[in-house]
Amino acid sequence: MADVEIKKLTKSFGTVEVIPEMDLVIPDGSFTVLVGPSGCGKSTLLRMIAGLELQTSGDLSIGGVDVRGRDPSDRGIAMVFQSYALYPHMTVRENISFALRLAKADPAEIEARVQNAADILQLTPLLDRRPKQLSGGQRQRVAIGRAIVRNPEVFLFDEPLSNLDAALRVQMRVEIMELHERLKTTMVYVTHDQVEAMTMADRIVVLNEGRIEQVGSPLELYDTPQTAFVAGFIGSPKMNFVRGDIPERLGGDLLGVRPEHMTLGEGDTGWTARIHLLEQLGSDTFAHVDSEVGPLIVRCHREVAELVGRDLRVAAKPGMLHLFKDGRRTDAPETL
Amino acid sequence: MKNPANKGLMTLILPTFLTLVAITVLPILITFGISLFYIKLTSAAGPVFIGLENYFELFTDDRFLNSLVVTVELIFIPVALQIVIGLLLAMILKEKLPGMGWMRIAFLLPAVIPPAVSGLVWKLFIVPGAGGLTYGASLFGMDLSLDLLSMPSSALAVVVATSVWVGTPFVALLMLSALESIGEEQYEAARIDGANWFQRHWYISVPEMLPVIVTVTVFRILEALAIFPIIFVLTGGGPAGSTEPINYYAYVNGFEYLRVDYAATIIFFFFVAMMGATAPFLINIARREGREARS
Ligand SMILES: Nc1ncnc2c1ncn2[C@@H]1O[C@H](COP(=O)(O)OP(=O)(O)OP(=O)(O)O)[C@@H](O)[C@H]1O
Ligand SMILES: [Mg+2]
Repeated sequence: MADVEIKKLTKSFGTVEVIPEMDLVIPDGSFTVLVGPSGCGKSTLLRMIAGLELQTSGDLSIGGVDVRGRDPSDRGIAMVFQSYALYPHMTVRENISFALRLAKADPAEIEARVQNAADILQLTPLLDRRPKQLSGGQRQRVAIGRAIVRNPEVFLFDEPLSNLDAALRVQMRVEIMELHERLKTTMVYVTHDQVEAMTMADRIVVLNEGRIEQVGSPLELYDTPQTAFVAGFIGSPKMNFVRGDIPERLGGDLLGVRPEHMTLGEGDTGWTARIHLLEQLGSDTFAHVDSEVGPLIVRCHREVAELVGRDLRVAAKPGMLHLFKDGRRTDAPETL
Repeated sequence: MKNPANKGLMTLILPTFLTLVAITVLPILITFGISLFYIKLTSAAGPVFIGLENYFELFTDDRFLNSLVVTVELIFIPVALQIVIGLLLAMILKEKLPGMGWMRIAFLLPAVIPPAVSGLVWKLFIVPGAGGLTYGASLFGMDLSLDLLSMPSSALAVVVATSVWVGTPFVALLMLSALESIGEEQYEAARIDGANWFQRHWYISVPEMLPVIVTVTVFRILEALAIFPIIFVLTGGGPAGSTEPINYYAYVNGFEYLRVDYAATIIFFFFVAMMGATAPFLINIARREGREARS
């Protein structure tokens, strides 16, 4: 068990600065998700923690120990890769026990630890197979097993579920969360999928172009995004944004309202609008409307199907406005 | 396997097939035919059929038996060295060190120099008293002006060294491309698992490259038989037959002693022996390629 402390950390590849300067504490025992768009430096940050990439400057400590110059195997971490990175010519058992065998651990001890990991991950019947003979989900479980046997203080995951299909992704998501419940070890999890971030994390770190936009619990980020970037990144469908006169009258330059915080109907308050597309998900219906302030998405009941083609009004619910100025959050009024 | 869709494909394969027969199968059969006759090029009398008599002579011919030993020394030892050194070089070249791009180009040079030229380069290098070797040794304060080609053991060593020098870079490049097709994340996972540089290659690279290593070895052996020009230029088979492999001995019989029939006997025997030695690997390779072509 250990926390990860990052101080004034920077990283450049040649002349390209990928991470300008970063301070971050990943608390002991937390499930911290690093999320951000492709190329924002999530993997680079994770790989620096792992020691696969060296920091250009700054300090990095794991469990209070400065790990600069330490080998990846000597940092108390274990990593699970997107591509699984299993050793193809070794059986599942050999894959899982590789680190222990290299460390010349006692054979009985190796066997016990492999059994334990295999039990947790339901891999026991597969121990003598090779990676080629496994499904994607099974391979990822082996990769996790390989991490578990090392008893790491910090687990690092780099988009471990990206190669799986949607159903399996949901299942593995739950398995990883259960693993965290069970082991209570610090986990750092990289993804570009904000749904994964929201469902799994107890803390989310939103990264953009190598900078931290915001750190907080999933609901903090959802309810009070501190920057326009976070507002647009967290939530699906995306927050609606309105520019121009309306936010400027309120003292900002960007007004945001989430789809579920808008109403659509035949009243006479709000912006004029017409439905041009309906997304029926069964549980929810998302109406894509053309309004006088631009295109908006509104979450409604399925009955809005009857309103297609009519002249409607769309309005924001009171107290649900997000106002931004120069990309940062400012106070918004209760209503428009 | 009878696949109706394959009907008519025979006409497409036929030209290749016939060409192969004409340039490989026919000469071998003719060679075998010649080996069954007594032929004296310098006399007016025609060939006389003598059956397998030449083959009986072969196994009582000390010089032939010596050439068998030399063949192993000159072909199998250099190939083994080429594979081991080539593999190591590939592992080193894979490291992203400065200047590696140029190194790779420099590496190709020995592979594109004609073998006869390589032989000459080495001959000049070891010219007693004047070559680069003497000079190099003098830099370390040693006096090395022996004629390395005049003594059996050192002459063999020179030929082996030359052959390794010529063949290794190409092996290294083949190994390097195989090495670079292995996913980088496996090595990173192994680093996290605590494997050092050597262990990473031993547990990941070598097992994964095994098919490539076998293929390259077989083809290097076949190609190493082309050591002929190196020997022709460097030692002429001497001293005392110490660098005379089978094919060189066949050349000597055919073109110096004008014993064409005996040369044909040696060559045919050699062909059969080589096919016997490499057939399992070649069949294995062909099977795998067939499987890959189908999937
Ligand atoms: N070895 C490298 N050499 C040069 N540039 C690199 C290297 N590795 C990463 N980069 C650059 O650093 C930036 C961040 O890369 P990184 O892989 O950390 O992004 P990411 O957030 O993980 O993206 P993704 O979601 O696509 O995996 C990118 O612009 C990338 O081009
Ligand atoms: Mg990445």
